[in-house]
Amino acid sequence: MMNISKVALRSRVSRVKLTSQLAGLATTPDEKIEIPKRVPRGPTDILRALESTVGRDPTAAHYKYHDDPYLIPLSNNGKRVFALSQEAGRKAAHWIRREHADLFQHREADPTIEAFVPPMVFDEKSEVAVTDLQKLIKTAQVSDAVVVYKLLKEKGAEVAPELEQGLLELVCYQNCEDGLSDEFIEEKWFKQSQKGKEKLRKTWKDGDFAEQLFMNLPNKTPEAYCAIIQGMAKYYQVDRAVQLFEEAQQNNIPLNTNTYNSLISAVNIMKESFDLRWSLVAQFLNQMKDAKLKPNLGTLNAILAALSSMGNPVGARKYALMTLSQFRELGIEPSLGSWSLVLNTFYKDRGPVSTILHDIINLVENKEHQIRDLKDVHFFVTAMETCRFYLNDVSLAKRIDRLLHHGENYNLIGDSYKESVYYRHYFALLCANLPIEEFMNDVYYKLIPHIYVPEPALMAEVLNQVDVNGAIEYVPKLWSDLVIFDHAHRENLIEMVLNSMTNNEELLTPELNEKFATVGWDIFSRFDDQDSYKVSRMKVALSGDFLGKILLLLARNKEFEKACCVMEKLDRNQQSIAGVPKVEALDKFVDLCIEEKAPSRAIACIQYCVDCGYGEANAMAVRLHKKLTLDEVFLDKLTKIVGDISLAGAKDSV
Amino acid sequence: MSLPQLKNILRAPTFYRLLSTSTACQKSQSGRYRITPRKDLPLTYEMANPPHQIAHRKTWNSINTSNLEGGLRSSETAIEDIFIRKFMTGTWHALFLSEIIIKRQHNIIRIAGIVRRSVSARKMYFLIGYTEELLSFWLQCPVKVELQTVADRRDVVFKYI
Amino acid sequence: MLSFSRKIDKTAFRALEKHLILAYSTSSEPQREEEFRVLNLKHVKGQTVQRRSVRKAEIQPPRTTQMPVDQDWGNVWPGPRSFHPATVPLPIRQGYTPTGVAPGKYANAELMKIPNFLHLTPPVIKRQCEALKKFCTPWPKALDSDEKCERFFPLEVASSDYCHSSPTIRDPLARIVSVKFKLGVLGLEGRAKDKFLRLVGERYDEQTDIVTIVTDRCPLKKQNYDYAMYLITALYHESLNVEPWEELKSEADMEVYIWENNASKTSIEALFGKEAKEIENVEQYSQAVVRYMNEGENQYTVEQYGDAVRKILNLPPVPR
Repeated sequence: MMNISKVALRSRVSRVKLTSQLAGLATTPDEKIEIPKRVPRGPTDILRALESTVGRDPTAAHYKYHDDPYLIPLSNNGKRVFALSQEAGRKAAHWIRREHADLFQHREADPTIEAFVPPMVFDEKSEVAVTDLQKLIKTAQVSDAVVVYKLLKEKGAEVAPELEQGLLELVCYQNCEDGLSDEFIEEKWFKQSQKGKEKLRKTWKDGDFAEQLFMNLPNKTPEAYCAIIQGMAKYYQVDRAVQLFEEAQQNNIPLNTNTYNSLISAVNIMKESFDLRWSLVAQFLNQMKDAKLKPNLGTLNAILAALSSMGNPVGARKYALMTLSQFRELGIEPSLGSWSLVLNTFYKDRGPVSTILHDIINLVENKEHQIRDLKDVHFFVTAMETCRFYLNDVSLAKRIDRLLHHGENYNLIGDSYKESVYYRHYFALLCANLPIEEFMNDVYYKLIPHIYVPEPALMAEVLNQVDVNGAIEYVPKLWSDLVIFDHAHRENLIEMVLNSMTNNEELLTPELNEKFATVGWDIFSRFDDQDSYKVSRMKVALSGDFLGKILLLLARNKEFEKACCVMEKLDRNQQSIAGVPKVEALDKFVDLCIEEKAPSRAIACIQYCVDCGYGEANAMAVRLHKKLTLDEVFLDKLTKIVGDISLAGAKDSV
Repeated sequence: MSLPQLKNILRAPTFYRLLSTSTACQKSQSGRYRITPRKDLPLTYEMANPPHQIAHRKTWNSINTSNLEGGLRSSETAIEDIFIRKFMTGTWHALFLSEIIIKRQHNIIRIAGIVRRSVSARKMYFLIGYTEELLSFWLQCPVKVELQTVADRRDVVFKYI
Repeated sequence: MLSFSRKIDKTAFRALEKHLILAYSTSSEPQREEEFRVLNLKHVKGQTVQRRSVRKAEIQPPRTTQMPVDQDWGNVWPGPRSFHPATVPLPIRQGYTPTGVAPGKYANAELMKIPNFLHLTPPVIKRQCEALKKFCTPWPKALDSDEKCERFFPLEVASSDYCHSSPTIRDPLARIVSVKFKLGVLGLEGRAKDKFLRLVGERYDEQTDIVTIVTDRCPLKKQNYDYAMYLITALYHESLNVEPWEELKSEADMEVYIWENNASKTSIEALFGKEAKEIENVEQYSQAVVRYMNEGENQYTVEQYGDAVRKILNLPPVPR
């Protein structure tokens, strides 16, 4: 009955359908057969269901990267560069397709896949129709839409008022600029990190196409007013927005809720002090009430945004709570964005610490959140930041993290910058508060390096914790991570690594000794090697103190050859190396020389000690003399350096 | 059959007979490598096995449904595969150490192969992005590049002849 | 002597030349810009070509080394992709060597060629089936046996979808629709059934009583399906329909011999002088005649006929 032949690649699926059309002819059915309704599903529902079965693999990089040891990024810079390089390659391909559009006109695929077809290019000479404009507005291609509109006007074609309204809304929303294409998500993801704090600045293009279009509209509908006021308010052309708003009020033109919302968000630019600002907000709200407009989530967020940056924290908190309760009565559920604004209002640098974050988390926990407002993506960062700086509460941080990984909430993390800030706070909080073993095993090994790469300051904190807790077994791993993360040239980090390796002598095991010596030698060779010196931006040369510590590590592990290299470097570059090593290191080295029966090295070291002005040189010389039977030449040398050995020894023994 | 023989046949019949004493030359040459005097010609596994070993010791470099019975677009697929191979060897100049493997599943084309780590990883990412995008525009199928990198050319050498 | 000194000159000159070339080719960057570079056509033996040493980037060990033993494989290999040795923690080998072991997984193109099913391990299939269950339409509860299926859904429509590895989803074979049903469900009798069978011809299978209609003349599946439905409807009504010329069918037009309609019946009635059904053993006789007429003359039918005649006439059977 079913004939399904399935070859690995080419498959034939037979569909067999049984129909009861003939049933009426043959028999009168004695019972009714109920066929259940088909379960409705969207085109991507199956894919989403399958995707929900896949979790995160901590050993793998994000799936946008190529899964190969050479191509997996391990530092923040690598992540950024690799993803953007790939996108640059894609852009190059797009450029070729645009430049040689005539070559890409074939139709292989059936049905045609629109994304593979070259885009239409419009210039002064192209033949355009109203449908083109329609399509361009729908796909939000601002500059092309403007060109086509102008062409249509030149030709005297009739453009429907709805289409003009659509175009006006588009250019107002985009400020007559082309947005980033959806094709290039990586650029969007990494863009935020370059953007500085140039937020509250007028960016509206005065007299550009949007305003021309508005001016040339034959009859200015309320919708047109709404669009232009919202556009101006969005890009902080506040004066003109208010002017148009008043014009509309005078002419009895009804405006919609979103227009009021945009004006409320711009209140902080219009007025200076807290009271003036708040009364202006109240004024807008009253006008809304008079116009019989129902506020929405946008109104709530606009009010909270205004409050969060108003100054006067006490008043702002009071009004924020009032607003929230009033909106709850109206049946408007605050979005995550509203809560992040509330957090901004409640957690200021000065003033008592509030516990409102606990209440908020209680409200939003264990739910899957959809994006409802642009500000929703700020919630997780703000919450984690609050948690770290004001509350210092590990369990709360873990709850926030669980919420982030609940369902598809991770989509609300925002962009790469916010993601990394979020993890920075989370990581720092856990690092400071968890026992070091738990932190390393549960957090460090799971998050690093594929989900998060710690910044130098955080690495310093981890090293500090390791040092304080004497958990020196983690140091070799941390050093190799430092190298991978491209932090290995930072002096303070090297110092911390070396300190924790040299200080905790009582915890040493032979195994660790060996590992430490390897790390020390790695640090030394990194600086010694001219090539890597240039490439890896090692600005500073190793100081005498660092070299001494490396020497100590090597001497502890009895690596004579390498220790000699370090000693030679110390000896040779006495003038250029800043600082001197600690005497313990030199002491250890002399002992090693004695053990290896290398008196010339020992004598050189003693000479160096004397040059550095260490009084212990004598003791060393005595030890050398006692342990090894020195021949004439060496004895001579030694005597020249420290004077009469037997005398010194006698002095020492007294 | 060689050209002179053909000529003889096409010529007007004459009254003499010919006898060829040399053996017929039907030697297959393609995909086979000659042993060098110093035995220092590196061969990959793919090269070390001549074409008649396909499906015995090695498998095809193109996997698709066009060559199965009832498969469609066989000529187009062959041409496209050649295009992909030329494009890849040109774009990834001197990087591929293996043959370029083209696997098609539904409308996805997977291009696999072994490359050398002789350019930096970011350049490789650029090439991956460029190749995937441009080939998908050209072939109108989603194209995926799936690479394995090796440190050294010698890693893929199977034997020297 | 002269020749000897000349020889010395020559060798000295050569050495100088060699030295010069060496000096130029190994001289450091800034000097090279000022001085003349030597065009070195012939390779001088022992010349050291200074090559830029390529700094090897630090490469992580394959991530299989970091994988815990109890990891969830479905997360590591979520979808179909080419084999990669640094991601698959299995000591796989592939290939043939006449002696020794087969080539390992690293840098092995053979492993990348073959399509793998690492993304479809049994636990993953199970998990995916669980996830997809919510999209399945449940089976009608009342339909619990094959008989019921047949009774309530007598019509079986079959069509095929083809999936090639190509950019198009079209396949001309996908247009073909075949419809099957049992002739019995139409409830046709006698003349109508006979007419239906004549119209259907070879599409009827006598053994299973199934009529199969295959339509492929239209370009689309939907059109072919509609056409098949039209055909069934037309066939049904046409076979119930009685055309005027069908009434004119005489004995000569009959395709089989029917005893009741023929002279044999009247003559036997005349012989016995009573109605055919009252005569003893008439069934055996009539069947023998029918068989004789329909199957033709052979030893068996003739013998049967003879036996029947003897029986009906009360004659003793032929001793055999």
